[in-house]
Amino acid sequence: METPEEIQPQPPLTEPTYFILLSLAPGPSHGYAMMKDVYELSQGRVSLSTGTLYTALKRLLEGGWIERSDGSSDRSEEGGRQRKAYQLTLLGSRILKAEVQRLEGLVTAAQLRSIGNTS
Amino acid sequence: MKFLIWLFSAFLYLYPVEFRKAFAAEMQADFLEALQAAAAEGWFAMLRLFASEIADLPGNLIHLHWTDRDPFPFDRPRSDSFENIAGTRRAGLLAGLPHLLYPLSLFLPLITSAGLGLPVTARPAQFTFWFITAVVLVFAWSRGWPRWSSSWIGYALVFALEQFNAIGFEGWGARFVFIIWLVLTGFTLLRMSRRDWLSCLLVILPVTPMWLWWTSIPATEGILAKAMLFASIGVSVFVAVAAVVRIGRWQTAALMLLAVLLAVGLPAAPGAGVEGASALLVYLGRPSNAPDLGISQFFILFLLTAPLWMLAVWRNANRQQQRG
Repeated sequence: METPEEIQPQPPLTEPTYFILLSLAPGPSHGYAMMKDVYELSQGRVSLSTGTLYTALKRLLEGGWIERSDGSSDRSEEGGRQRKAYQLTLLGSRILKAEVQRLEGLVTAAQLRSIGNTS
Repeated sequence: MKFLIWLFSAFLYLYPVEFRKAFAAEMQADFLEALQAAAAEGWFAMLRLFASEIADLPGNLIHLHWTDRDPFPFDRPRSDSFENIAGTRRAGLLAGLPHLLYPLSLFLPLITSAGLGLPVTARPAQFTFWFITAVVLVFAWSRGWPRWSSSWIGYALVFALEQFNAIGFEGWGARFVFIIWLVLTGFTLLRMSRRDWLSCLLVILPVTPMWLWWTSIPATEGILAKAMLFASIGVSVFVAVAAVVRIGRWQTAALMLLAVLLAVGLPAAPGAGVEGASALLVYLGRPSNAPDLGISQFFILFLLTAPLWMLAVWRNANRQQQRG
């Protein structure tokens, strides 16, 4: 797997990927919690279907950006169903931070031209 | 709600097997949870949730089936493309089947019209054959193009040739589309040869008999014995190909296929003089009613495939030399 020091420059992340990584930033989470989190983080703009979520999770797992959490199984209150949780890897955290810095750079550039500065 | 859950579960079968094994249970559980939450807001929210799943489905399926998988794994070079791998009985049967079905689709209508007095309806039989071919190719693709699928790929090339021919170009136009078809066929064969020479030989096999069966249809119309003769040729090709795949040795395959081409191709040689009789036998016996053998068309077709055969022999000789 790629170490954080070896991170290659990444193309800009897609919105679903960005929000999925962002929702995992605080700690491990499972599928449905991620779907809700992404919806709230994007202020209702990005609504992930289960198909899109798990297609993205598969790609992120293969890329080593996320992994299944070791103590991954938690139980929902009503069904007692085992759920698998996912968490960011070190590589995933680095990529997310790099993306946030890139976005900050874009906003800073816009502010230099007084675009988007509401104050 | 139960119906939506059932429908969602049914749609999960469209995903690739590996993906389904890894994520289907989680997806089902998450969808159920989301549906229960939406149910609190009413049936419209439930329908909206389901609609968003359906709307995303095509994009996800294309991504998972096409982008994540190699659509043409036969393009992937194998360490030893001459490796002898014996096939199962089922593989042999599947490899031989199109050689049985194609002549049946061509000649069965003639047999039924002559034998049973039914009207000639060739189109449904041929349409059914091409439909089966398409289904089998999709199945073969999902299985990573196993060796038995080579025969079906060969018939897909035959189908392409038929379509080009159906356009009805004449003169230079006809030559141009034939060159396009040759490029397509050459491209497929050369790339397949990097993986498996035996598959490559099986792909080219349908072309010559098909061409000659095809040209022999007018001569057999309404004549039961001749139609049955040509249909029975399919049985011999079926047996040979099934044996080739079962044995799995490319040298055996090359010899058997060459024998089949000679035996099968020549009976329908245009201008053979005696319709339905083997041009080779006619030639050897030199009967008085065989004025011109006219096997040039068959010979050209044979020559077209000759570079492939010679290249296979040359590559194998080099390989043996390196091992020695």
